[in-house]
Amino acid sequence: MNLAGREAAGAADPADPSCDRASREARARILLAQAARGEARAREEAREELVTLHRGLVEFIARKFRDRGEPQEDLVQVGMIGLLKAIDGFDADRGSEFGTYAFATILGSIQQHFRDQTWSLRVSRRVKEHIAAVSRVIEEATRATGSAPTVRQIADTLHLSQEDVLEAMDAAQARALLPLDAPIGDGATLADGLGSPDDRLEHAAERLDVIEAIRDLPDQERQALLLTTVEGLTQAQAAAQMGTSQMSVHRMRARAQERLRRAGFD
Amino acid sequence: MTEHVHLSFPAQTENVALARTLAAAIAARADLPVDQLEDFRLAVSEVVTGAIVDAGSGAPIACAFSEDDDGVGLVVTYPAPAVPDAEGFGWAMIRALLSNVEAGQDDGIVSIRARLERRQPVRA
Repeated sequence: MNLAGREAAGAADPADPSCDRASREARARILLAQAARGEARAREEAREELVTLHRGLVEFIARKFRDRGEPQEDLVQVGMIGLLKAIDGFDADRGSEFGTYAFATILGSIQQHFRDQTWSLRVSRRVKEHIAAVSRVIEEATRATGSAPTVRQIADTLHLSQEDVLEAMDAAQARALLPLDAPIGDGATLADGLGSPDDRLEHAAERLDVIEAIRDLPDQERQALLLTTVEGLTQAQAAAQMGTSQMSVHRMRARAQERLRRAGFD
Repeated sequence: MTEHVHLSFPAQTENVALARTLAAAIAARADLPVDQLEDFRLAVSEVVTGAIVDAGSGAPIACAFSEDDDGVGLVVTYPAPAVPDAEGFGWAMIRALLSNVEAGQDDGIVSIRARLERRQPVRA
């Protein structure tokens, strides 16, 4: 099939797996708006079409787990539940692509499915107790100091070895029970207090959109922005590092923020 | 001071956990806060999974970890004809979590290098 033919077919049917992402995203946006308001029948039809539109995506993700010993149909079922969750949970004002968000939610659902199955059997009671204690210490220390503690600090607080703390964190990651707050500047966080893999991936997906937007900034503006937010430098310190004046840093940072605002981020 | 810790294993999904565990231990030794430790663990998991996919089942995967005052480093090497396609979701996540990400290929061996920089304390 020649390229023109495939593009024509893709444009006609966004559910076709060969259809380009942009067409599917555009159609999804329209459907998400329809699914959010209006009379019940139209909303339901929009939801159904959204499901059809993204079924290929669910199957694609489910295939990545085909060697885990579970029938594909079961994994697709789990993935479809994740897709429905994404459809219901997507916030159109956020500015990120639905496709990215859906990918993260579907993937998270399937991963959580596997974790739910193996976790209870695998983890000893001692480790489960450690997880609870470590979780509490992380939460309290983060709240008290504004940044996450180190493994050493957690071990000292709980009179555990660092290995025990790491073991607990490892097991907890499998079940996603740890709260991990990491401010990345301007109020955004990498992972919120829930710490479920669904949320982690969702936030990673959101953060990717911000990262892309930041990457598109002119070099100097990007540097000025990152040094004064993520790196926590004062404008004077950033100016020293960049070899320019504090006034320039101030202006570049303001321009960078304006660009990001116009691109849909705050 | 930089130390290198090496881990090699055949390309199999079960072995990703080994790299994850070691990544966490290295990050702990470097005294990274636990949120950065989790970032490193997640990123290493993605890089190694990608390596397993590209290298093919049973191929030798080698990981080298280093730590220094500025953070932790990772080099993953494996046999493959070309560097990985950098446009996938996994790579976007890797680039979001790690810095100085480089992929090179020399004589049939692909190397992926990256670092996680220690977050500097916020100054007033």
